[in-house]
Amino acid sequence: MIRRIYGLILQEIYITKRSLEVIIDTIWFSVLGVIAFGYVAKFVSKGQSDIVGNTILAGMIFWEVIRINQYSLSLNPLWNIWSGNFCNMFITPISKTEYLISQFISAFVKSLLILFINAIVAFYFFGFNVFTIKLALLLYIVVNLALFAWSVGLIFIGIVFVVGTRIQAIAWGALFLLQPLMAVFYPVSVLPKKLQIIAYMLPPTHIFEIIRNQLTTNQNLSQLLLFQVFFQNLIIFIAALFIYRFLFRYSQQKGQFAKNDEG
Amino acid sequence: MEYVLIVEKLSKLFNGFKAVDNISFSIKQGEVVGLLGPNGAGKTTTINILTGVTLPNSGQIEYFGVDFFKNRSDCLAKINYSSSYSKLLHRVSVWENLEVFAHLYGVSDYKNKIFSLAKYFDIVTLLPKRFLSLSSGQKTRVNLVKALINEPQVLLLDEPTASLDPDMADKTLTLIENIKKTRNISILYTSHDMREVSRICDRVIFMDRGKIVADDTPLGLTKKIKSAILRLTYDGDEEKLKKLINERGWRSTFPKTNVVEITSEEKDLPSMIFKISNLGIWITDIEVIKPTLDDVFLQIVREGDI
Repeated sequence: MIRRIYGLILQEIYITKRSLEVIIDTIWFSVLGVIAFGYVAKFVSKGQSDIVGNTILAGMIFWEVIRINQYSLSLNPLWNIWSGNFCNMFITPISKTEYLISQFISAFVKSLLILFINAIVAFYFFGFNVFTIKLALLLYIVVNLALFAWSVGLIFIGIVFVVGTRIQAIAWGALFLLQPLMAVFYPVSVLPKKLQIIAYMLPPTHIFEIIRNQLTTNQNLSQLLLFQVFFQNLIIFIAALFIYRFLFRYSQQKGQFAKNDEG
Repeated sequence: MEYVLIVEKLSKLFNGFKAVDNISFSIKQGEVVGLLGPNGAGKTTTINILTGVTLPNSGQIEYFGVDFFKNRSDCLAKINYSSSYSKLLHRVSVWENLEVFAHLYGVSDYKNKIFSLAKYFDIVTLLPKRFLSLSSGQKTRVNLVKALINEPQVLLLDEPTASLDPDMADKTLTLIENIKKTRNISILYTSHDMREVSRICDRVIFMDRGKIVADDTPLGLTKKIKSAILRLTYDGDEEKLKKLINERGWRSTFPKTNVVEITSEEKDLPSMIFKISNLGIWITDIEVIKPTLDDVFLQIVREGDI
């Protein structure tokens, strides 16, 4: 099992190494996004304290954790489908679980790497130190954001298995649909009341609120809240796993799974 | 000889259309079986079910005596697949692609394994190249290396020579013949090329509209078509010959001057020759054109049976 997971991670490394698009989509866009939002933050906090600016910059840095995780998870099957290698992979002894574990590991490692690079950029250009957030909380934040990104990615992959690559653009756009609701750059309170109810159904909304809370008041967080958010996230993740498994099987039944390699 | 693959009552419906209709067959160890049929006969769907990428509506598949659907990973570790249509990751080098598959199949000492197979298929110089940059023939050989990387006991080959020029197709077939001789692998082979199938297959399964309509050796199948063509080159009175043919009701054509082709059952051919020579016609050349797998194929496609 470990050997097969290693093989799939190795494939991901080779895809990343050989694809300028992946390097640009991950490192390039992330770093430039942080720099651009850093200057926006600098502009809006002119003459005031750095708090507002820092929350915007932190929002961008942690948004990239979600984006990279979802992007990485969604793109691997697409690269294989575009190459016509998808079925080849699934006629080896790999299981659905092994495939997903390998993709979670690659996505998580990539997002940590990008987080680290972005943290350096934010510190170097704007003097903002992400690591003022306690390490344990930082880990909690990253894990929760990754978990939600994987849930979105799983559902996206499942839909690709069933309908093919004609919906592939969603790989880049799915999360942006939810971004306004997740209150990445502003407090949830600025949203209309009805939207706030929906916003709080999304675990990342709570996570971004926690980040802002840490940067502005640095108050101790309720353990119950942290547990509730993680539990909510876990429920969504488990539901996404079931949806993924159902769509995977449905695609095999409909014959679309084999047809995916035809493009 | 033990069976490495047993398929029983396999069916697959797509929106009410029976792509595979209650088929049963088996393959023995070391046997090369051709799976033939016109487009839409159900060959590729069958192969897809046998590799697990498509799920059947009903039926059983056993590899090496165990249920495929309950022991998917164990079975897939011992089988492999290659098709002229399947490809590897475009931008990744041949070596990197093969290395990934070696890990997925848990191949031990994989570097030596890849090198020895690369030597065998003459692709050592291609190993650092990106898969995208290879010609069709080179891609086919790389796919065959991938297909043999786990030393499979069953190999599923879906039209491996399609899109290859005749020279490369011949080389690929020779390689498959060598694999058959040296490795005792069981092969299920789909193709539209009947000469290929006659050349490498021990047995042929014909599919049409999702059903198996014939299952026999290539010779056995051609023998099912009783008629043969007697082609005579002669020197003599053509009118006398035509009169005899009409009287006897033989099916004949005159493709060119002094040549007649008579279609009849093989057993009747000697007496025909005797009767024609009795007319005082000098027969200068005799050729018996026996039915080929092409004729079997055409008969099945046009008449649905043989």
